[in-house]
Amino acid sequence: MSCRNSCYQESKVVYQNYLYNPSPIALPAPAGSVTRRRGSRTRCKLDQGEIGQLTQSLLPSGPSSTGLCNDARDFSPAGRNDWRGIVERTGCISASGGSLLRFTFHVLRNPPFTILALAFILLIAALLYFFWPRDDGTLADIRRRGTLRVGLDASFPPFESMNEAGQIVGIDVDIAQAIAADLGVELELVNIGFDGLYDALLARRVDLVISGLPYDPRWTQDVAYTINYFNAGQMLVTQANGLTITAVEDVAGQTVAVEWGSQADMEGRRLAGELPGLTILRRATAEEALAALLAGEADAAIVDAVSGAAAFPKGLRIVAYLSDEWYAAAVHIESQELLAAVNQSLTDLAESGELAKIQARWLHGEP
Amino acid sequence: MVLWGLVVAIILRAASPPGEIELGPQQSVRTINPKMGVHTRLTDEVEAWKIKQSLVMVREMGAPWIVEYFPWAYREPFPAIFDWAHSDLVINHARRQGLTVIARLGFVPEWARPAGSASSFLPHERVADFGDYVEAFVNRYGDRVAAVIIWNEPNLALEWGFLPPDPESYTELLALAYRRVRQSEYPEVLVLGGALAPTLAPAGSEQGLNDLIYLERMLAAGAGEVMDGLAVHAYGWSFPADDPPDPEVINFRRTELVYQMLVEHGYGELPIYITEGGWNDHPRWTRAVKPAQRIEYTIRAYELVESWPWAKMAALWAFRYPWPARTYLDYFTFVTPDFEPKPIYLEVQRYSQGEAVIE
Repeated sequence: MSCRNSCYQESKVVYQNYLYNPSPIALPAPAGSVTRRRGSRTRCKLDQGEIGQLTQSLLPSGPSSTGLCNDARDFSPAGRNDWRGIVERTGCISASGGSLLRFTFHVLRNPPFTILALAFILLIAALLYFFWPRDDGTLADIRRRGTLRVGLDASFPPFESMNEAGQIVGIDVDIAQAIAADLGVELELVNIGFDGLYDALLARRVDLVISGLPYDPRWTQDVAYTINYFNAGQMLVTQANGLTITAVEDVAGQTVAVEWGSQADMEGRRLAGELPGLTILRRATAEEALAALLAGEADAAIVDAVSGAAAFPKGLRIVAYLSDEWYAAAVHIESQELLAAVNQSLTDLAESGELAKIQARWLHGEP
Repeated sequence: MVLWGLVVAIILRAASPPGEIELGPQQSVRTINPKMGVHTRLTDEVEAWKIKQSLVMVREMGAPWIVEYFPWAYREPFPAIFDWAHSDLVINHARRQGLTVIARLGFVPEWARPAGSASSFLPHERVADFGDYVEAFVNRYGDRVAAVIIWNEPNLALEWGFLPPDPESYTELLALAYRRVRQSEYPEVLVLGGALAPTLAPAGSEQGLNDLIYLERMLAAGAGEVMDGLAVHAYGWSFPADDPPDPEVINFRRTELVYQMLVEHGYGELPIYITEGGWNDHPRWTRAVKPAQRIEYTIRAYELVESWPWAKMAALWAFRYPWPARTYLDYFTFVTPDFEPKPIYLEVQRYSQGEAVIE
């Protein structure tokens, strides 16, 4: 490695020929050679050939001989450091005829940030090593066992509930079935109260929770959520053939039906504070609010997505979502391979249209 | 020891809730029903402005009473080293908003129980330490707190150190607390018997003991002599507020059965304080009701309590949580964590101001 290259940014040699040229002149740095001692300190050393070239360029007549004074070939880092970390190294070369070359060799010392950068890289590597999510082997266990254990609370139709035969059925069950099929294993449903779902996952009683589960950032240290598969937020709907309302702002001056006291009621009150002339028509249930819309008593309705979707076949159209409440499945934070597999299944279900079919089947009663 | 205490005091001071916030002018509650209340949940609320905002909104809802929890472990994290910063905030702001405060006391500090035990486990040899806390609390707040509730739902194993519920032992604890309050600088502070969890759990159940059976045994053990009133939890579950009382049913009017038991044991002069209760409007929870029903039942419950001469107040659960629980529990509240009033808040407010409810 040459001195130039080792000096990272710039090497500049300033020669001052005291005998013939009292003013300093700058010349390209000689290549020199680098030796390293004591950690990161750089020492540049000129060989005899380079010394000869230097003196030749400065002493056109050419020296009859060259020599070093004060062992100047070996530029020790005895100079001062400036704020940029430049080491100023000095030396001198004696030449024949009494000429004396003093030179100052500015080199950028191995900058401290090099060490810091190296340490930073090592730190990142260490952090990645220790904190990179490692797989706990759940997917392998599932395949070995031949069953995917899915936790859900079967009290939330149409996502999961018990049918008359005592079977757990619903959107989430169909999705879980598709995931199990993709994994090539049987599906085992574990009915657990909603409050116990996360604990069941952490206690390894189940492999996966899929139960109309809203994304909850407070759990993300312990569980990993899959991609979302349903937005259960509040939406503004109107009659499918109605052309008056195409955006939220269009309900100004209109009548909007809501379920009294519900989240939709809150959204309605919020809109009423923003849009002039908006009248809220309150009904005891979401179904009654939708019925009021279909009967022409209201121009629009605000309902949760589940209630709204159930009424779509009756001739409703979504104007806009007013809030989001995404449902996702969850796995243990260490079940990374399972997470990837479930995400792949959900993606495939969405892209193939099967997810929409499952939802339509349970939300609208479509075959 | 003095040095150690000083160091701990400095640490506690440094760890106190950040920043004071102006109390503001003295307020009063405007309401047509002076028995209305809510259970606030400020125990884990750190920021002073949020504490104040919660209490402002309680006042504006028209509820003159609050029940708040002041855990022993938080107030006395080391033996005889007290940290009153948070409770000062809550109580001073509540008083400035014109609210009457009932304080629930419990939650055993780690230093007063075996390692790894539940925070509801109070070893027999530490009962006197709890008494010290009760007396210290009353000495500090006796001029600003109307009553203290001793423990919570001791008829549940969960709340009794995961031991079988023991009405006689609880009565001893109540008696000790009663004596310590009477010995305090404010002996006029009322001592309320801890509210029992409404449950039909039979004797021998691992989870708990039927509240009526438990109360009967408490009274037989002399509890009626060592309390100034009885706290009651009155949840309606899926039943309307007017659903008639029935020993086999958990509903709001089960409170009447509790009071009837006091009467039957000769303690009819002891008032009832409903310190938790109400309805939940979660869309899936099996004990929930529709939001509209929740509004209707809640207002009716306040009306019922007003009509009951033996009931002093009803603080329904819960005004607001510091953060979303993201479970059915969120559907007990009146206000979102962001202080957005839910429709039930607005309708209860209309009721308290004598306005007609919307529907």
